[in-house]
Amino acid sequence: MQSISKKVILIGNFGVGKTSLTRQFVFQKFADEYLTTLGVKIDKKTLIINDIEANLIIWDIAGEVSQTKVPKSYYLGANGIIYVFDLTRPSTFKHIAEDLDYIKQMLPNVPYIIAGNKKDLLTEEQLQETIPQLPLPCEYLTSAKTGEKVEDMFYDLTKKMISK
Amino acid sequence: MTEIQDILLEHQQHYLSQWLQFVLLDQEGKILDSNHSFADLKHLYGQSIYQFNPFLESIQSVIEALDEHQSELFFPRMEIPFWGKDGVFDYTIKRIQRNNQIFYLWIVEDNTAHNQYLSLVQQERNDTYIQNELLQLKTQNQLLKEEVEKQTADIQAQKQLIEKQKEDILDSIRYAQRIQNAILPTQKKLAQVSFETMIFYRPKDIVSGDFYWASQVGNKAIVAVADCTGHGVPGAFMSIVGQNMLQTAINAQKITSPKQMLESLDKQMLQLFENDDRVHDGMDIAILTIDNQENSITFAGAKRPLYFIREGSFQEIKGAPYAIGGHHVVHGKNFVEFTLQIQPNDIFYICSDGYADQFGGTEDKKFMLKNFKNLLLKIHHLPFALQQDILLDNLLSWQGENKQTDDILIVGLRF
Repeated sequence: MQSISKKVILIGNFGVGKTSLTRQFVFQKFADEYLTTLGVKIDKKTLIINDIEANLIIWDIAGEVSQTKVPKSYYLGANGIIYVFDLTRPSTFKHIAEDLDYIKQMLPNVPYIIAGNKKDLLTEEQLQETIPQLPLPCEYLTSAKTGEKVEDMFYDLTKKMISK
Repeated sequence: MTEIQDILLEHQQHYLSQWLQFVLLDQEGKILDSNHSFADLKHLYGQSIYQFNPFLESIQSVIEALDEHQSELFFPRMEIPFWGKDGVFDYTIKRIQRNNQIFYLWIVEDNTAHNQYLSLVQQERNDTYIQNELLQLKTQNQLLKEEVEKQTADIQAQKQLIEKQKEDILDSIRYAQRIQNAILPTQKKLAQVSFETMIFYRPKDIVSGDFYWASQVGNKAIVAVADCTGHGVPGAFMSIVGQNMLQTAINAQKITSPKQMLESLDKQMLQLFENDDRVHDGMDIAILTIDNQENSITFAGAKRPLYFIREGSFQEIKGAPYAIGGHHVVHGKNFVEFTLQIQPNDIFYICSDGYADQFGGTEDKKFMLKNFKNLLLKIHHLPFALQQDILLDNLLSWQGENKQTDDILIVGLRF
């Protein structure tokens, strides 16, 4: 079986749930308590897709209001990007387009996914009100708390990275 | 002196520091040497560090791409245990070239203590920021909710007011309908005439601009159908005016000639509105005088015709091309009347234009005069009660989902 390593970075505003998404994906655990990430946490998980062993090395990067404030070295060598925002906080999805433009300059042709997290905190009606406000289409509406769409999202990104 | 010793001497301060651990790697990432500030890596010498350390594994290609132009990488605040030691570390990776050999020096600096304070500040900042944002959103939503509730209440109050006003207006109009109906000839009055009559009367709104009239004056019966300008309340007002003028012509002026009646009505109408240039309203009317002694029928019309069917043949006598009232005509209005001898089974119809003008059908068009005349011809031999049913069925079928276009009035006389 072919084995490959892929660096995945999770970026986005602070408090959107990047660490929780990673914990849910890697350890199937969730904690309500919010502990800020100071720099970078790294976790590893292996997925097998189409007879390929993909070792995902997940960089959970401290959230900033703007991605320009994140040390550039964190982005180096990334093979996939997950941009996470909080569906309950408009300030976390206001600048998605600018942030992604900035990142694409450093990481051209790297596949990315936009994920709206904390879906569990919204009613269906609130969700339908929020979606039209998003500046870019959001591929995944996730809940790190319930695990909804978390695994699917990482699988999808891995497939995109493998096919690159 | 070996290349490694040379490098170690150069980075002696790292080697001796208890806060720094450095790991010297060859070009392939094999561990060549390390001090042991945080972890003893001696047992890993000669093995590739990429297989033990996910951080370095994930940036292997980046490390290998370092060159003389960019020979150093810095990764601050890495929250990754270093061989079992928890903490927050700053990583520096340096590319070192000695003669033709490439080495990498990985310097790990433990900044846990320093970052503890930073962590507290950042946690506080983020918590406050998030709480403020959520509170602001909650307040905004609450204000929005209150505003929506207020607007809904306002709209509800306005709706109730409008409904009340509408109900009041409808009550007034319904009352006006009673008055209008009271003015129209009663069944008793119609029964006095010596011929059979049919009234097909469907106002567009509650009150109507169309009206019919019947009166017996000596041995003469007078029957009229009028279509006043407009419909609804203005039409109804005009119909009252029209009926009043007919009363004047017949009762006060003792006129029985339809032509003279038209002339009287026109004069009265123009006089009535002569002081107001804005009013050009009037009415179209067909008048019949039936002379029982002479067994004749005399017709005069203002923009309304007389239809009659004799021995299965449809006949039409057109009215004059002028309406009653409205605008003055330069050379005067030349109304004419026609007298016919009544023959057994003759059927006469006078009507407003509402039936023929009704929109409907598959292409949403007017019913048209041609179809209306054909319908009258088709049903004329039937009893009037049945004719009324057929006229109604046909109208509703043609009309479909459309609203009624105008007031509708058809009066039939059978001899």
